[in-house]
Amino acid sequence: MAINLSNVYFSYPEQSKVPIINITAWSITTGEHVFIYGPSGGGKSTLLGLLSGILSANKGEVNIHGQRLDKMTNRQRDKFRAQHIGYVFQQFNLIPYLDAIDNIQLAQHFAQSTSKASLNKEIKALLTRLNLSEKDWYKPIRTLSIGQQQRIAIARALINKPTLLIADEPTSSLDHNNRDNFMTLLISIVKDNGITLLFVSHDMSLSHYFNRVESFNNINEIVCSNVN
Amino acid sequence: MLIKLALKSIRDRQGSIVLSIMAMTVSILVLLGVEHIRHQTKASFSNTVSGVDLIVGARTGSLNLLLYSVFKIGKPTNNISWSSFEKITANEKVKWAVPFSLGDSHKGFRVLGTTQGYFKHFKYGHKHSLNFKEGVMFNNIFEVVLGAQVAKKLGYQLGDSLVLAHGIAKTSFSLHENNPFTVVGILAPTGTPVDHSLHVSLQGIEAIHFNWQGANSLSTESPVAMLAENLQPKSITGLMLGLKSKMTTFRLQREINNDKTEPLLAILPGVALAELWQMMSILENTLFLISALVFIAACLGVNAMLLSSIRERIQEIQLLRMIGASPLFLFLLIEIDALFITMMSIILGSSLLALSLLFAQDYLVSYLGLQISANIFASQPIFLLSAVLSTSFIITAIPSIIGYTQLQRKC
Repeated sequence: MAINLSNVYFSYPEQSKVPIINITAWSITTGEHVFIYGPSGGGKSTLLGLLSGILSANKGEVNIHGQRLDKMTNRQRDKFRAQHIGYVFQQFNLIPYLDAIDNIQLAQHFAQSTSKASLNKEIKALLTRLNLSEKDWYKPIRTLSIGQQQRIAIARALINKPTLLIADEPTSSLDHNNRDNFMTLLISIVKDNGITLLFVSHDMSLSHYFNRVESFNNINEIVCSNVN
Repeated sequence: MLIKLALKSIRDRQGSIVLSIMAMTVSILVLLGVEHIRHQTKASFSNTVSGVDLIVGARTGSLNLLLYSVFKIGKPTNNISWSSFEKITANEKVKWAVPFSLGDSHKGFRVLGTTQGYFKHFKYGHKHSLNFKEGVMFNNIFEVVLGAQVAKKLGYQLGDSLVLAHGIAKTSFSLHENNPFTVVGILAPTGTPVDHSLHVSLQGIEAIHFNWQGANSLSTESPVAMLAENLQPKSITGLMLGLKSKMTTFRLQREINNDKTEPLLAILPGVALAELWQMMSILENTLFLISALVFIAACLGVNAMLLSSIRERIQEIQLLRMIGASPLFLFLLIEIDALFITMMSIILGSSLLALSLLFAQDYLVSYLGLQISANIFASQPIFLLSAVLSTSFIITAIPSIIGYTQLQRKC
């Protein structure tokens, strides 16, 4: 199993009596590409926070690739996240004042998995595969287009060869063309590398890229709004 | 990677960082300035007189003797006889003795009647001798050597003539008009009360008081002026002593204080100066309080800046957390900001202070009588700056923790 949740309950400390997540049982098998849709404010980002180990469940088991996140210390979860989980956000995926190479190196720094020489080769190979021309590699991120930034974000998310890639509405700020290019590239890369993909969006037109589509309301037993 | 990221982040926010550095630089400048002046004033005060082992005067309080003999403040309670001076000078423990007479003035500046030995033995600061900016020491009865401030404020030059007044009031109607003195020397600034004094020979003091307000006042042309027996002092205000061995200081002090023939008081200038500074501890504490308040204000300023910068950078911090940055990494990232600002401010503040003092040194000595060294590292600033740096490091933990808590809520 790539993800296995059992009796997971979560509420924010300042509103401890207002539950945000209550999932009795939910799982994803390794290599699956799962699309989760649901309205904004439903707790999708909170679920992703629990799966990536940024947040810690109040109760229940959070199992990622056989590792119990709920049993780990904060330090262990940070390390696990850096080494095994790639993350692509809707926006602000990259540090704006660093260039593409530095942004990707930063992600590798936290995972501490590859030597610097082989890392540079891998970064350049990834960026080439993601169709980012060499002249843009050393430009500050803020000078690049949103489409280019999202492609670098994929490279950043994949550099540590994660087993799980979490994408939180990564196409919402892209136009139609860029969105399709992005999705085609993303799916082809995760397929080639055997990565489990968990993709969250409210844009149902993207669902055809995935082999499993689920409504968030069917996963989470709590219906709430504006939790963020 | 941490340092690289921190420095690139700082460069990216250079506008707000420069403003923070400017604000912090001013605070550090004031903090260091006040502390340096406090230390230097204390040192300058303690260094008003050095190389003098004992000061002897008529029996009074030790502070009173110190005030009138060294600082030329207040009045002596009584004179001491010339025979006592001779008796003390004859003591085998005494290496040198310099008598002095007070009681006259010139336009508010005190006149010190003394011997040529004064210019040789009197020291200030770290045993600095008195130096002549112009001219030489007095050789004749009606010659005067001016302190630097007297010459500067009254505009006297070598060869000028001046008249002394009886008493120490700024405006005096009892002038020794018949016996004018000629300026033969002007001393270099010392930052001590010497700058505000006029120095004449003891014979000069005797001469202007010889048959004063009587029919025969002494004239420079009169052969009588040359008659040493008429100008031999009968009494003096006090004397400064240098001893052959420091070990004998307390013994001689006790001997003088227990003298049965005349009630005398001998004091150790260093001890009396320390006692006097102790009385001025309110001033010192006030300066210290000002320094502390400036320092707290500076720390709060950096804190406010960091807190607002964390709010600006919350997405960046959130992203770093997501890609695996530990709370410690983020904490250090924010701390480096604070340390960079503090370090830059320390460098700029110290340099500005040193430069300002370098350029204002002459002005401070001339107009305020403050001998302030431009070497700001002479007054324990390393300790102070380390305290600034560590406090800044500790206080910055507050915005770091607040930032981290905000981040946890946003996830």
